[in-house]
Amino acid sequence: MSTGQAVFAGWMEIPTRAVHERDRTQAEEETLAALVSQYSGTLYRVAFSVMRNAADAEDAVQEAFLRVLRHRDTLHELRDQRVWLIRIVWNIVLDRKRRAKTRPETDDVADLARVLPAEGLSAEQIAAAAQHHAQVLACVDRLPIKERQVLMLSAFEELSSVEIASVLGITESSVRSRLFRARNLMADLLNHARSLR
Amino acid sequence: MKPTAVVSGQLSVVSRSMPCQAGGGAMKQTTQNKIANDLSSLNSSEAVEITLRLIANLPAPEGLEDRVYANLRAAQQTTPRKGRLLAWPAMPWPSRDWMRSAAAAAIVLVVAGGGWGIYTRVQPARSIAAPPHVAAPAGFSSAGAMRTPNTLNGPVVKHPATAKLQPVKSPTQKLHHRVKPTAANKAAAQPVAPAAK
Repeated sequence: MSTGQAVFAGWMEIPTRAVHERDRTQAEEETLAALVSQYSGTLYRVAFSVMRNAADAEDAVQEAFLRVLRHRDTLHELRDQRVWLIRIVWNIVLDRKRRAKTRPETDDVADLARVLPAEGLSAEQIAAAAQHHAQVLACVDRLPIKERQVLMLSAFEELSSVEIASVLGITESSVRSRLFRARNLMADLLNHARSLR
Repeated sequence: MKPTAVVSGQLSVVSRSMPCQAGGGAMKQTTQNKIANDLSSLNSSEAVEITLRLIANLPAPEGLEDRVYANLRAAQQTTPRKGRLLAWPAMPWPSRDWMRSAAAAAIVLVVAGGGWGIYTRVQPARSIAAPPHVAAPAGFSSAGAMRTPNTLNGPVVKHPATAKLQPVKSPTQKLHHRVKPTAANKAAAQPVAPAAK
């Protein structure tokens, strides 16, 4: 092939490129669908643990996947998609929570009492359990933000301390020390709350 | 066995590799019963752990995946792809090698002709004859500056010599001042009286 032919051979690749583009779009759609079916539940639980409201948590999941859609070209470069997704939804819910500070806490507790499992319990027991959860969550909310975040993420069994560190952008040793501090603070807060009753 | 031990055992049995839904049901039921039966017997760390894990193990709402995927599909049609490369338009007629070469030659001809036309119309200004440049011995050029030697400034007379000349006293006269005046000296020092007219 001469130099001129080599230079202008790109014109011949137009149909091939179009085919590649279509294939790539299809592959991205499949990847996205797989991510949705695999991780939407996890993301919902992470969102709910912060928002404590089903509708808000679902909105956060929707927004997280919309952000994924905007960065679909770089999906194949990700090393750990699960942690990346959790980090996205975590940032979204923290941001929303910060903006929705004016919302009364009673809404959270009522919503929580409705969604937590209560099979085989009487109405009185359900109310007592909801009150207990509300008390615990009120103490959680009084923790410093760093300790609170680690404590909430540590409740997710599918997240190791390394992954929690990756989500929060800190080291693993920091996760451990913050978790230790959070548990001690929680013990103090709960004991104080019980002594007041 | 104490009820608290049952709760702890259930929490520790659930491994990270297990799906949340599989082990979660039994745990939720046990912990819920535990909370309902004896809330006050829970120590603080157990209470926190139970509440947070109940929230963390909540199932995603029905149809979440479908709603997320439908939302993504709707957004995919409106969201432009970021950083998309422009595709060359397809040629309307079957391409031939000689046509490509001719097109390339025509482009080169037009560009070169245009450049030559601009060059012939806009002539660069003729250079002005500059004096021969003598390089400085130390390696730095003087940029064509002519060196003029520094001349010494002589004394400047502020007041021209127009004042009356004072008679200079002789040293002998000075001596006379020191000598005690006597009558003979006085007579000698007396100016001579002008002659009578």
